Amino acid sequence: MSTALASSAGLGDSEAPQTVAGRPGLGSRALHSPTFMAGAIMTTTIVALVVLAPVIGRYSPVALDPLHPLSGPSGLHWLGTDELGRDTWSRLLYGGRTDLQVGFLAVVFPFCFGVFIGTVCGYFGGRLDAAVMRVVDVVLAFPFFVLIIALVFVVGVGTHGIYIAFGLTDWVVYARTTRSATMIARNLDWVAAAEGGGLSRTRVLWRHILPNTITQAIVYSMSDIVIVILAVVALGYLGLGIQPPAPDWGSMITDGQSFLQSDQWLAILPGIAVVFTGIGLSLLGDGLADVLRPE
Amino acid sequence: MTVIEFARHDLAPPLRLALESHLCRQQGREWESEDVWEYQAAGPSSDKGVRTVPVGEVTVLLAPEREERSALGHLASPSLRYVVRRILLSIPVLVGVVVVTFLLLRLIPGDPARTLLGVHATPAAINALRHQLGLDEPIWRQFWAYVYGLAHGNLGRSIYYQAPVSSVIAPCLPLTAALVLIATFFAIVITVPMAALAATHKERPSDHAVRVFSLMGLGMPSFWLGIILIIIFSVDLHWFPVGGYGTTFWQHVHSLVLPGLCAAFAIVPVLIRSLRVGMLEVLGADFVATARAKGLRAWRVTFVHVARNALIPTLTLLGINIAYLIGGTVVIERVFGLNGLGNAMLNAIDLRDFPVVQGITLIYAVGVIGVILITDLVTARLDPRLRLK
Amino acid sequence: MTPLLEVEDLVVEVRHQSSAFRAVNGVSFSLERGAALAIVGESGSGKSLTLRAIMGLLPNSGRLLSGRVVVGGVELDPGARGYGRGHRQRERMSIVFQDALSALNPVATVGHQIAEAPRHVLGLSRHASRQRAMELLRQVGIPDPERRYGAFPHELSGGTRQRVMIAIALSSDPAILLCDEPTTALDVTIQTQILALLADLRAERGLSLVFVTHDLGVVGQVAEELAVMYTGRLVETGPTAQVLAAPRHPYTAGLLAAALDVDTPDREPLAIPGSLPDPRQLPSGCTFHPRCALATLECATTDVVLEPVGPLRQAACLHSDQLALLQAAPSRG
Repeated sequence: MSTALASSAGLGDSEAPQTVAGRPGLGSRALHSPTFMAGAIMTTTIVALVVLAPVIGRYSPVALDPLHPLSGPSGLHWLGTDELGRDTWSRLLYGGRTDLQVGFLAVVFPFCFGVFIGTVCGYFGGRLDAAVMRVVDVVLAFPFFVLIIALVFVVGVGTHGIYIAFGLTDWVVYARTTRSATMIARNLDWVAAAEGGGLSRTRVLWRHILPNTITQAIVYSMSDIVIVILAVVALGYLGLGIQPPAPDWGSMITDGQSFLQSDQWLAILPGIAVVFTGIGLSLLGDGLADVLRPE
Repeated sequence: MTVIEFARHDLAPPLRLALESHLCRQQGREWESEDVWEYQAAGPSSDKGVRTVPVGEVTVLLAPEREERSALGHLASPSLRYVVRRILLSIPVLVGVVVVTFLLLRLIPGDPARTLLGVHATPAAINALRHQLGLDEPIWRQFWAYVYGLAHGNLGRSIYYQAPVSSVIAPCLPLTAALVLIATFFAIVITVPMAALAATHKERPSDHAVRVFSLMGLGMPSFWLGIILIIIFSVDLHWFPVGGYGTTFWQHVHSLVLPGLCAAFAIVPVLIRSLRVGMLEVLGADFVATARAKGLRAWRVTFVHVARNALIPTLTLLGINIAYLIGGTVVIERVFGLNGLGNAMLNAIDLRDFPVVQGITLIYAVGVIGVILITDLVTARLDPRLRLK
Repeated sequence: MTPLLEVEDLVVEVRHQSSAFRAVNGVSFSLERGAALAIVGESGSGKSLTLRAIMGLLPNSGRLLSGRVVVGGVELDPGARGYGRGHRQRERMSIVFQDALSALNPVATVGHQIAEAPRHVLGLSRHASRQRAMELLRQVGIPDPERRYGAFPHELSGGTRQRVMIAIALSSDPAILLCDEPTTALDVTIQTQILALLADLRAERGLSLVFVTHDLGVVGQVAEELAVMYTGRLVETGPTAQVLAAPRHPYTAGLLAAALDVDTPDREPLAIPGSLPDPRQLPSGCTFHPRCALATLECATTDVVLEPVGPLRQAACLHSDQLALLQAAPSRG
């Protein structure tokens, strides 16, 4: 039962393929969405902090200070030091730099490949579609982290292993969502083309399909980056990810776990950094979803 | 009759799609691109035996229902048909999983045997391992050997222990299974009341509190949460053991509480968000109004009508996310020092014991397939509409 | 004789995103025992919300601001929590919704849903309520009730589902049946059957009926009294035959002209110029004036209310008499 708004208005509000640029007020809508703004602020803060690490980090993350191991916050070391005397504040910043960098980069290939293959499958259908979807089902049958660990094991640990592991597995959700969106959009434009609207050229079809499907992929990529960063941190914790002495939040937590009785903050702080990043990116993703697809 | 006549050209494509999706949803099915829709100028009577549906001021003629063509048509009960079909659908995935685990070995760069044994290995040892792993055979024979072995319950031979992989893994299975069960239990017990609370008090403080709570969980590494919980509950409060599994049944359960909570939190935020939306949809549905119109008591409406319907998306969601939860237990086992499947896998990785890693990966995948199958079957049992699909 | 149902000055506010507006803005009507009233209006006129407000079934976005509902001389409070349970007078009303597929619980059998009210509200035994359900299935014209009892809603055709909805509505033995566009989603032939069913039930049980629809072609078959609704207000009321033959409000006249006439099927339907205004920004004065051929400056500045224009008729139009003259003119020529 409707609120008293005309039904035709209700129907027309559903997603219609428009170029993103053609939708009015995108920027102002973004500014007015509290979720988006909160997410943007948090994310920008984190990114700014890690980008400026060389400037605001007071020490190199691998510089040892054997005179002050396991010290608490002080004028010398804002957040204290770990057991080797390394400055926690700097390690947090540089660790974030590495983790975020790897996290963002690891998503690039899955995004591009997933959207590409999803569009192709959704548009052409047929046996290619069926085959690819079977592959997607198989990949999704493995618990995500188990597959990542297994892959990192076989191809080798470290950043290159991370990129390969995520490249092989992370594209599937992008493919699926893009495929569904493409299937809907394709039928739409098919009809319009049949009306003789001059939309029969494939290239112009891409211009109608892709903007709409890309927005869904972009919104998903926000939460995907969070998942990837969490996985990278977890791999670091297990010693399978970013290898020491490169700083990494995950290995910082591992190091800190030995000192739970005495210096709990060593293990806690990196986690807080991860949580903050995760919340910021999730809010940004939610806000983006609100902005790009109005109710 | 207030009718706006329209022919095919008058209805803009976006409106048409929205109309079609709306009507499909009303019928309880998904919009498919293969559906054929017939649009016609609306007249005073339609004698084609086709249903008309007015939506607002537009009258649309619907295509006839899709014919259900099934090779299993001779099986009497639609439920049985559904079960068989669902099981059959799992088989290709199972095959694919076996293929993927087989291919893992091939992904090792360079010479797998040499890489696994490390730089200090003697040529003799490398050759022995190569033979043990079957690398000196043509690939199709390797694959056949692998599948043949699997069919007989043989997962390979551990390099480190020189014993069947299955005997290495078997003691670890119960612990992981118990952990997953307890984690699932916690996930449901935490998610459902919170989502229900948020949905029934929409936009009120409790709703916002729940949403903030689930937001915080979104970025939280579950193993880090484990460490925090250990600090609070084990180190400071001594309520739970810092690690280990215990010997008696109750010690087992007791030692799995914190790990179970952590593993559950990997998916609780996502579940709460989705279930809240799902419940809002159910709460706003007309059949709830019908139930209330009958004069039934509120609790009866909630539990019999709303819950039963909201349970279905819950289970579906749980099935989808259970894989993520299971994956999370790997790290949790390491944090809490539990000797389950995940910990065994990590140990095997440290020892470069490939067959064990391969075997455990396969077990995990089979487990996930099994759980999703069960969830689907249970959901179909609860929702009679699914049995027709 | 006191009317069975009296509704006075019903006002329902709807909140949509950040704005709120009155979807129902002062609706009053009364219903005698055994009588039938049809409320006609376009989508968005507020007619469905009126029924829901009376039953206390407003969606979360709606709120009853004010109004009196009196059933059988007893005043009800539809805004109260727990309304509908233990309110004997409220239980004398039942509602039938438009879309039976979404108005029925998808996971419960049809028979179970019909038997639910007798069992849990009227307190009948399980056997007795099952018998009652079977009986109702028969009464609403569903063949083979024993087999249909165990069917699920999605297994039935649209017409059968709607009969089930009516059966559910009848299961609590109401005196008043509120129907919210019950035939709109149905095929024309089925529509006629359902209307006939409602007429039979009225005759057999002495039911009173409030029938909401946007379809003017149906009201003649259903109700003797007609009320026309526009942007949350009633703009014309009166006996159906009279209103349809000689409308006294331009909107009603417009609706009639826009309907397809059986006698002149080739004529193009005449749409009312303009479109339904945004309920958040209603025109001043008479809300219909921007679309009205008879509008004058007065129409935009005066708050127009229902005034008597005949022995049993009311219309909310300053130019009602002028309209009557215009309509009388052609027949004289």
